[in-house]
Amino acid sequence: MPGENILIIGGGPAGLEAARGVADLGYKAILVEKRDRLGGTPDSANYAALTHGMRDASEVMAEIVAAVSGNPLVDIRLNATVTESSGAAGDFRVTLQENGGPATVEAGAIIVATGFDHFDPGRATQAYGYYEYDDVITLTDAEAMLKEKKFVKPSNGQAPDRVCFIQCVGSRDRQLGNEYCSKVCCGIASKQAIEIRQLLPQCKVFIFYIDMRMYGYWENEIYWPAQEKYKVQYIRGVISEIVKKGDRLMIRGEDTTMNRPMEVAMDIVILSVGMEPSKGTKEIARILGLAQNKYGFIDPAHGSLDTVSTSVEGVFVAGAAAGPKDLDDTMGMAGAAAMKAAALVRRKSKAPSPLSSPPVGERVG
Amino acid sequence: MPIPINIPVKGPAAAPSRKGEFRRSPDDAPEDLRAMALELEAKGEWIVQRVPEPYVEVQTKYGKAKKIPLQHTWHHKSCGQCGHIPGYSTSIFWLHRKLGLEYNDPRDQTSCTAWNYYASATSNSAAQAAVAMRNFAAAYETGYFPQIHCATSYGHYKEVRSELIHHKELRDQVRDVLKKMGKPLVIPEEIVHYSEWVYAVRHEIAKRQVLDLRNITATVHPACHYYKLVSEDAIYDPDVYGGQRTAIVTGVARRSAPRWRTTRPGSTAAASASATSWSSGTSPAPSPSSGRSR
Amino acid sequence: MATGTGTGASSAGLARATPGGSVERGAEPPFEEKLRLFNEVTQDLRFPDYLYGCYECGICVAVCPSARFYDFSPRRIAQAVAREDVELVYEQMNRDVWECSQCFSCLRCPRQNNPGGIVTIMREVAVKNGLHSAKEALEGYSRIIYKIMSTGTQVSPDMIRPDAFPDWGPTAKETADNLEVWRRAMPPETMHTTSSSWEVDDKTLTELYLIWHLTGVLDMIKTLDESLHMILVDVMEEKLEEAGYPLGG
Repeated sequence: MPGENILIIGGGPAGLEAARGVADLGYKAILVEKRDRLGGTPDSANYAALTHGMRDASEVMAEIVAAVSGNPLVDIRLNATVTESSGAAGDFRVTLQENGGPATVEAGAIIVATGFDHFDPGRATQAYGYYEYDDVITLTDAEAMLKEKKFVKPSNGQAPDRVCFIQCVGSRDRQLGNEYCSKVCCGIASKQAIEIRQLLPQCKVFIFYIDMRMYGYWENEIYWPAQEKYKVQYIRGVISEIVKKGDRLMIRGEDTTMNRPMEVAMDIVILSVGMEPSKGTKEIARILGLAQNKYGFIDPAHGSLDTVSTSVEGVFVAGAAAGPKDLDDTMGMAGAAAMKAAALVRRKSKAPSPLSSPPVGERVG
Repeated sequence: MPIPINIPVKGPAAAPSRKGEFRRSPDDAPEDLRAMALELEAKGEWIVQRVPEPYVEVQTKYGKAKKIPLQHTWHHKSCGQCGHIPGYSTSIFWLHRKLGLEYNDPRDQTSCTAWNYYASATSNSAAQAAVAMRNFAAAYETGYFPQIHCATSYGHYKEVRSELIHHKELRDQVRDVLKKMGKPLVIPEEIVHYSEWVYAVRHEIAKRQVLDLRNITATVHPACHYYKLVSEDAIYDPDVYGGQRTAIVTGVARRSAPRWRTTRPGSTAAASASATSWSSGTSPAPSPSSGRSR
Repeated sequence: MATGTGTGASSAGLARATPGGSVERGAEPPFEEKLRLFNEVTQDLRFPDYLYGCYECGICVAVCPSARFYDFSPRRIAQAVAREDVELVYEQMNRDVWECSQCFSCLRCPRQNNPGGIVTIMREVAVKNGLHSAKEALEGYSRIIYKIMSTGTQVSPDMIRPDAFPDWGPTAKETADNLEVWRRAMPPETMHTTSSSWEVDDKTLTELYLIWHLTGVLDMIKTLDESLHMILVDVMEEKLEEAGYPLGG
């Protein structure tokens, strides 16, 4: 019955994992994706290896996609966007805009997995000249090159001798209004630094940082090897300005550990751009009337003890739509969202569970 | 030996198409002081002097429009320009007359005193705000709208506006000071720098071009207080530095009178003089013209 | 709580800052006095907007022109106040703050701190309290203060002297020698002046005096330079009385 359907918006890691969870619990998932293919940002932004674990991103994503495509309980709607929603928990009516025109779907619960956008470095408070200089690139630009195993200066196609990363571009910045830490950039920059050193052993790689935030095993699996085995140079101090000199880039900053100014030539500068709520996330929050925090991410309504329920009953959130997340957090949230959504539709429909277990929710209700 | 520094002046030079073109969004803008000024006016706290028509709308850092009045302007002159570089103010007035735009060059104007304040600290926020608001009130009384010549005054007044908006006690104190001289508390709807007016009429100026200056090398020094103080309320144009820096403000072209030709850059006299000055290390950097005398 | 790191360095720094014993060095005040000055800085109404927290990212130092020429660091300014290091802030108020050029490049701080603004406040407190360093730093500056206070404008044409502006080349002498003529030749009549930037109405100047009188600026001048203060007060009081402004308080 339609009240037991669970609508999942977004076909990235969070949406795919939520769909798999919903199907595994025996409910029907309707998975809506605005692009013409599944895989989300790791796919669209050409991620190379995933942090951490260094597994090939396309391989991992293919595995997650395979788990839902062909699954009879997952109805995949590509090239589809949500335009309207009405109803309440247990009985939502949602209008989709699909290739063939508008369509209406009914669902008992909704999981929002609309993700993030990479910060646009044109807005950076420092003079980094991303739109001025070819050889100033972002983590995403670098990732695409690393995926091709060909890391060169975009300006002339030659291999670089000196490459640096600038951390916290678009994150931890009150002037921009992005006061939060984007969580993954320290790890991704360090991962890419290792990959560059593997591809180009003669190339020197520097990371300019405020704090290196290498949670848990990222420390011993990424940070330490980067420093110890791959001799990546970590320098405390963030670059304030990039100016082109000849065919190289002069970067200017302060080495705050050594208390001295730096003016160093680089061949490629990689801006470690952070996360912002995607346009889709903001749009869905508006359509569904979900509370957002001041940055536009969807606010979990109950804090740390329930990371997936939103301000609207029956609507759940998973992944970076709720704030900066790494892949581990995203997958965990997706599972939790699937479980809570399934529990809700079972309670609302007052039907016995497809798995024939007693309706626990009824007792407390 | 000069090191070539390449900053593209127009558009994203040879930028790979994958980067596209950057457009700022009004959603990214910080608090809108101009809107807050109008809210305070609605509460009877002060008067907001409206920009007279006709005006040109220009784009500020985050894409918000700023109204630049073309005429009926009250010229808030600059100490440094009038005192030592008078061709500056004279040219601004000359341009107005050439374009047939009416203006007021007042004697009822003091220095903003910010230059002294930043140098010697012999003032305080209340005095600085009162000086600013006295000048604004003087403009309001004439019916003309302030056009500010000095970069320091411009930046400082934007800071003063912010302080007045955020601190009621400062507003009350300054209102009281002005009341003693029989003046109302007035803030202009926009705080306008002369360079913004030049920007607004640049095409009109170009139509009247007499000499071709395209082969003149010019040095641009956007004044610190112009673009570092309240930088979101300044002009950004995608055609100037790719919209990544403020649109050009102050240009200085070396004139080509014969005596300036006698020693060229790179000649022994100029090079050694400049090397000596730089090596002392303690004095401020000399101007490029030092040592290049007859 | 406040800590007192580097007091030894502080004395050395102060001794170094004293030029050739030409000006008598102020006696080291007790901690309570330094704390009072510190509190005066942090209680300024602008202070909460000028200091949030400091990452030590170094962006302010990298863009600071003074940091290139002096042993000056906007990061140390922000850190000292943030750590409530009363001794260090006192030391900075006596030396570092006068090395800042107030260009506000440091406003690029990602935390939106304003180290240059903190310097403005620290300088103001130094002047207001007649700190030795303020007198020393502003020695020779009196004529500029006199200029702005007596004319309402900051920079006058008659300041152009070849000795004062060697980098202006031969035109400085030419201009200085024929200043009156040059100024009269300019179309804007408001600029037919030699001792002020432009012509300021008497009424306007009196209103400026009233502002300084009412906002305590004259008291600041008094702590800095008593004779200058006397000259200014004489001029101003007469004008204010003439205009009928009450001078009580």
